Amino acid sequence: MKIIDAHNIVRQYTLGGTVFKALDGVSLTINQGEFVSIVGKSGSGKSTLMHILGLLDRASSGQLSFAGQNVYELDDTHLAKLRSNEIGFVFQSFNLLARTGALDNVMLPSVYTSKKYHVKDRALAILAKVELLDKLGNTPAQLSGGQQQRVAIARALINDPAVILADEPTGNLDSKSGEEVMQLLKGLHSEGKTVIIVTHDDDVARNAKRIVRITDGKIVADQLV
Amino acid sequence: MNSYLKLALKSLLLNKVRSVLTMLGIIIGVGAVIILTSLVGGLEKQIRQTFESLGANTLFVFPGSIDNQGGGMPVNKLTYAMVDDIKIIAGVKDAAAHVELSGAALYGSKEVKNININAVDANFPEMYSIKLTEGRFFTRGEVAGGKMVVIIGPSLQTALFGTSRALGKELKIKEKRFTVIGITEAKGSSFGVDMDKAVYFPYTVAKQRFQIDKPGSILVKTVDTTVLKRVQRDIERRLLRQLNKDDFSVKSSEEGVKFFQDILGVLASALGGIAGVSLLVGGVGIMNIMFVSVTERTREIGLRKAVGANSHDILTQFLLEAIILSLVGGIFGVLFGIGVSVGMSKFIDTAVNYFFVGLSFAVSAFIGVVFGVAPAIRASRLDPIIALRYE
Repeated sequence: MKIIDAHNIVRQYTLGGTVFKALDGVSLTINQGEFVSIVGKSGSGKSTLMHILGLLDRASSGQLSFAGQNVYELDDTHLAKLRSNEIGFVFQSFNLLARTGALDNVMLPSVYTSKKYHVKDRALAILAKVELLDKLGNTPAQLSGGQQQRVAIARALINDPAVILADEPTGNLDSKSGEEVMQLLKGLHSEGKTVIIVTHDDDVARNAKRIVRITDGKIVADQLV
Repeated sequence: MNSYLKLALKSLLLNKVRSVLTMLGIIIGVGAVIILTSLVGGLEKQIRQTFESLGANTLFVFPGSIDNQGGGMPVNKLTYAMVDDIKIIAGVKDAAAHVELSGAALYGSKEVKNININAVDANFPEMYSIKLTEGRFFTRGEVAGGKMVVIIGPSLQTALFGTSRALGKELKIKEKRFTVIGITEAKGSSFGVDMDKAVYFPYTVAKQRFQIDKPGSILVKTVDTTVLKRVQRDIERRLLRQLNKDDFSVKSSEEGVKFFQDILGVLASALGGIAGVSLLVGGVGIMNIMFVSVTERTREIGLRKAVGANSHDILTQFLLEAIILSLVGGIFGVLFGIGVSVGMSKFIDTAVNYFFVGLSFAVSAFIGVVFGVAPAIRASRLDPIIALRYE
């Protein structure tokens, strides 16, 4: 089943009168449960693609459907709702709230979801899974980089989304912590989640089952590993 | 809504010092409105009590016209003879001239400045309900003879004589020697002035020694309140024989209270309004801090949007933060204002004006909305992609 179906996506910016195409006709289909790496150099358009797939940005033209729904027919409020319920973001720089404990950081997205569940129980269960039950009250400053990224992954999982979108998830980590984070993402894939990693690093990309290469806003290769 | 409230509270608690400092503007603003209007209220209460203590059967004759304030001090055209004229009007129980001066009292090397000096007639104890703890009042004979005798208040007694006996001692008032013949009962302070730092001597002394040949005012008591209106008209008619309409006023204590209430009402509004400006400044402070907060938390806003917050969620959170700051500030301001007003009542009369308490609190709540909207809108409009990249 297609979870993401992008067709001929163009995203262009006008900078000082000149039109710049960050994405130039990208078509991409991702099925539920896939583990995909989107690889490209800095400036290739991979981040723009991630923002569009993550419903944070709208394409200038083209169609995008998410779980069978044409997302460009939705207004911003409904897009926000779709993000809240179906997409979990993991960022390179973690983006945890400062001076806020791990548990509270994990529970943050629960405020905005329409899904019903017992927030604290679920947060504790996920924190147990990422082996941080002993750090519930620790603020980001009291956690290592690897621990912070594990909190961020737990946060991405709290609303039980269909898709995990990770933007350079190991970019700020040492190789050991990076490896731990990759193992966690692999585990999520094996549990049935759709996992999409955006990276410039081929070694990271090879963890996925499918690698999509993007250069100058165009997909240049799409192969299974 | 409940979870938004929690979010807003959490954010404010994360920045306790800043939140408190921001609220300070509102606290001071609301507090100032309450304190200033309480002071005016106290003044009003005191004036009312002063008039009421004289009794409802009291009339006052002032020089000049109170109703037609032409500007400047009126020329005093009252005379001591008029006091005797008033005394014989039917329904008048008694009348007394009153001259008020200020000056220094001296005993030995001790000096007390700015004492309240009253030149009065022998009937003043009854007229002003003054009682003595020691000694005696001066007699009609002493008044007629212009005897240098004085009755002093307990504060002045303590200041000049300490614990030693004051009766029979000679003190100097405005460079003239007087013999102390009585001590009045303590009256406390009025308008922040110590009423017990007062002296009373015969008005004839003021006339002969201080060249004051006109009474400052005339106090009239009627036999009862039913004749008050008629006596008031009769006094006016009697005085009009010698004076013009604008040369004097005859007012009952009720009218006196009313007159001051009108003035104080204007004063309360003016002071409340001035203090209200500081409330407005407090609101600008909230807006300023909320803008800083939005900028500082740009990444947080981006993240919240990424995990599913829509613009309305963000708007609500930031607006609630501003409203909480001003509302909690308002509550503390009310407590602070009432607390200070009650605390001050030990030294000076205050009466908390609950109309202004309610008004200033309502304004503080309103300010949170008004000054919170602009920062909240800015926060809600942030592009999540740009916000997440913000350093």
